[in-house]
Amino acid sequence: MIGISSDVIRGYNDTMILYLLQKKPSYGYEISKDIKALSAEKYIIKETTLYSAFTRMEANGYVESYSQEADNGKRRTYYRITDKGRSYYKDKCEEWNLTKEVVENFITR
Amino acid sequence: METIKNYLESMFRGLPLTEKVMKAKSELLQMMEDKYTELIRSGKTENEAVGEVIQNFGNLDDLADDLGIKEILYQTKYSGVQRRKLSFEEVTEYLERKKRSALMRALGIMLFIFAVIFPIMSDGLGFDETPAVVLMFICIGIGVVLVVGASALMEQWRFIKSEPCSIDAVSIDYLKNRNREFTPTYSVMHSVGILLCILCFTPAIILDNYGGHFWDNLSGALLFVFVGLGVFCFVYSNMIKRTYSRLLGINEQTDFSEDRETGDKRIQKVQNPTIRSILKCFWPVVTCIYLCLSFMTFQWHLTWLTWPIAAAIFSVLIAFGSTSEKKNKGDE
Repeated sequence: MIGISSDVIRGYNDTMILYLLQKKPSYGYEISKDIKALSAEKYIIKETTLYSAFTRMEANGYVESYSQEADNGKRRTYYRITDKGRSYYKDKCEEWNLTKEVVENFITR
Repeated sequence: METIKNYLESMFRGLPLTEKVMKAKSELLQMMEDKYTELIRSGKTENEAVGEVIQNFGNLDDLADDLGIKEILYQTKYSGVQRRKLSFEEVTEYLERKKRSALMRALGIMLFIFAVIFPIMSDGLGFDETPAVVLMFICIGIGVVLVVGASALMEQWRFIKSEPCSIDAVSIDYLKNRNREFTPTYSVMHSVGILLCILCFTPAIILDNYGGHFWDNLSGALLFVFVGLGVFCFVYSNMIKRTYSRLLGINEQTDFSEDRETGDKRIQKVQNPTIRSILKCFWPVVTCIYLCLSFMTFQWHLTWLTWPIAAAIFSVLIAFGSTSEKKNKGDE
């Protein structure tokens, strides 16, 4: 089975994370779990990749982090999307549609 | 869970403990912990859970930019040079070897110096000199075996000096720690070495009051004991220290001529080929002259003067060689 090329998907990790954060604020493991589930276990995001995306997006102002007590009583870092993040997400969606449209023309079926 | 913590610990070892790095570490641990707990809850065994968590951890390279640790992860500056990669195991093995080799060489050199104690003491005690001379040569023989053995021990590692090599971040971190741990030992050994060499005359001064033939000889012998121990401390600590700094600088090293590090650096600076070749064999020749003079005359209380005189001549030769070099440069 051919796995997903991390080079190709790298540009869309942000998109996936922002999609999930649009629904509700979330934390690291939950996001990685949701990505795995939504991709039907075809894509498993690495912890370092995920954290790298968080820090980058926080620096760009797409997400905000805050600390909150979890169910098990432990403190956990949660992330929520900002307005800037929402508009960035829209741009990324458009970008992907265009990319898909272009690449699609060159794929044999 | 312990395994995961250790794994993370090892991944982060050697990185500067900046706020960003600390935060990344705790966030990553949090994610891994969450994942681990859930995997266990879903009925996975401890081993399976740990395996899955570690497998999907990823790579610190992903974080290099965000954490400002890029330089540390990619140490190799001269990436144009094809470098032989030394694994962590190789680095530790090299260090162990080098330590043994340094010890052997230092002991060997110490024995060379101690060798002369036998004739001195047998003279002082009024024994026949033949067995003492035999003992002296045995002592020198063992010394030679040790020194030669010390080089032979490093034979398979010669490429570290002559070939471009590189080591990874984990090794660099390890070396830095070892180097830091060794620094106090180095300072103590180095100063004790110097102190012993400076104080080598004190037994002579103290024992001078007794005035007898035996005491004269004893003070002579003690001088060599002092110098021998001093030189041992010196040679050993310097060799170890130099090993650390060479390995730590190995990623930047661009000069691979083998004799660059070996021998006196001042000699390498001397351009005049005649003077340089004289300097290279200077100390063995002086040792030879000293021993010959001493055994022919048995005037140990005078022959030691060979050393200060030789040292003075050595410095003059170096100074001479260096100035003529400067003159040559000026002419061009």
